[in-house]
Amino acid sequence: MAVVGLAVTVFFVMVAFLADFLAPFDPLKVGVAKVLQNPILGFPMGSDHLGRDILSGVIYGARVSLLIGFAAAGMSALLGILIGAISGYLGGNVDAVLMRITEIFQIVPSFFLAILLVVFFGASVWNVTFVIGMLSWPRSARLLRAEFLSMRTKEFVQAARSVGEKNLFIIFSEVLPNAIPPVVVNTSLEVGAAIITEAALAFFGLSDPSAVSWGMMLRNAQTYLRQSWWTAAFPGICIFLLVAALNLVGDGLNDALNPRLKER
Amino acid sequence: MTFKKYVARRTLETIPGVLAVIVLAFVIIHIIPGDPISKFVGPFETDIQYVNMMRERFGLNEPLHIQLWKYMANLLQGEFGRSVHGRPVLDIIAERIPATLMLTVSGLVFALVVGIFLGVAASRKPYSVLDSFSMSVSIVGYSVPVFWLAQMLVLVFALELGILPAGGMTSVREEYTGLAYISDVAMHLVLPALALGVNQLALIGRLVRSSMLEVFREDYIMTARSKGIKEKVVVYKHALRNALLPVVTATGMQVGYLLTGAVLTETVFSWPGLGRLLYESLNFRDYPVLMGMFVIISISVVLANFFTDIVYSLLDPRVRYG
Repeated sequence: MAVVGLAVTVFFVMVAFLADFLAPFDPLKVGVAKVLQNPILGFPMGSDHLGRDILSGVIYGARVSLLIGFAAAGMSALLGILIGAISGYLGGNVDAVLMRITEIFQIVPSFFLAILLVVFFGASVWNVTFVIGMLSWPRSARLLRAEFLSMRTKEFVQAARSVGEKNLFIIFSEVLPNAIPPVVVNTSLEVGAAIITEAALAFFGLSDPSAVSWGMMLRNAQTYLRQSWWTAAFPGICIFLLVAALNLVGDGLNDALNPRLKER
Repeated sequence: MTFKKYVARRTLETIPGVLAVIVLAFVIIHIIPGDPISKFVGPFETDIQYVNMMRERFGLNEPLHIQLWKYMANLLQGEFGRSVHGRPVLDIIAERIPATLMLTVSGLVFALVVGIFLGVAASRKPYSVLDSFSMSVSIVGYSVPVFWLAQMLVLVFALELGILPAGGMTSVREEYTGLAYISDVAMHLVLPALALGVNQLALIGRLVRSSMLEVFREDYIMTARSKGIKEKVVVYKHALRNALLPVVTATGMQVGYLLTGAVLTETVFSWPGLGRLLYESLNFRDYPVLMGMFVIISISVVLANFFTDIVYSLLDPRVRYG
């Protein structure tokens, strides 16, 4: 199943890359088709209330979703690794302070905080990515910290220290490669979560107006649901398929990287 | 430690959380571009004297820590300011809470009932075709965007088949009372609760399954079986009880996500709750209401975590010694 997930993900990535060649129309161009045209030849996914081609919107939407998804998850992973590694390795006061900060981010429901931040700072692709990334690092940080805490006392770390290797070196080239698997799995799941969060923000109108987002398309579809099922069905099914694919990949990674759990 | 001591300790630990939310809200208000007065006044040209007078009146010239103190004091007394339409923020939010509560609880109950049932069923035949299938289905259920699922449900059940209402909490055409009112609301509740519950259902199902599998390995299960107790009794009376403990914690931690889902679902179904309010305030840029909602929802989540811990400590006293 994970392979299926990977295949679907790669498919969407290709679509996003080749958007300029694949999309028949400019997705933001108004009036290329009759308003609320149902799917027919020439417009296989129909058009929305402004006469924009849904298929083109779906194709370009893949770009935004994948970009924000991977960028936000990447940012969250980097931050999480940095903070988790330092916190877990050094322990003591540093750990206590960093964990308090982490807790604050974890206590507050992230979606609502994201809404506030995007409302106040403006909804651009970069802002949305930044906000999502900034709100999801705690989980990675905690995972890595837990791994580091358990590895601090292991022999290979003591061996490295006794040879005189500097702490920073030990953190990044000795402990990190062994501690990273849970973070890898978590990050792959974060991509899916980031894509859904971006779509949800767009659904509330908090998306970059110059970039077509699947969530934005669903928002537009809401008013015209009665007359045009296609405006909601196609963008949404793409979100669903892409996120499901990413989650299957994440699950597969989990099975691969955590073989201990398989013994049941 | 005793239950009472544990409750006291957890209460003390929860207070910083509540304060952190309030401080965070205060920080956000003050770091946003532009100052609060310009938000209040809007994009219109205003006399500088008026602006200064407003600053004085709202205490914006005072040192930050004094402002923070006043902000906190206000909030704790229920003074959340007024919306751009003039009504007190707390009133607006309070009147929407019951609807959201109804939806959230219904969604959660649905997710728990079906999720536990499916999880138990899957755990009884691990690694079978049924099991692998249900695990993949759960990933799918977890990946569905709740607002899209809501739209699809409306399309299929309300607009195509016409068997359930497409939105709102009550019918617009008639005014029911008593039992008819309850059944009317219930009809309107079905689709939203269904949409909301699917994500949680998937998570709960997985968790119950893995939890049950772990419990099945315990000695007391083997004892029960060797005593000749019927398998059904073993599963439901002995195993499930203990397997449900992690489900309690997990569900408590999911309250934030549940509320997020509720907010999105309400927007699709025009359900008259906080979600709808959020959508409208965003459209109108009604900042006082937005901030008020943020504070109230965040504090609710903190409190929900607190209650989950208390309930869990009742179910598993070992936790109190942690």
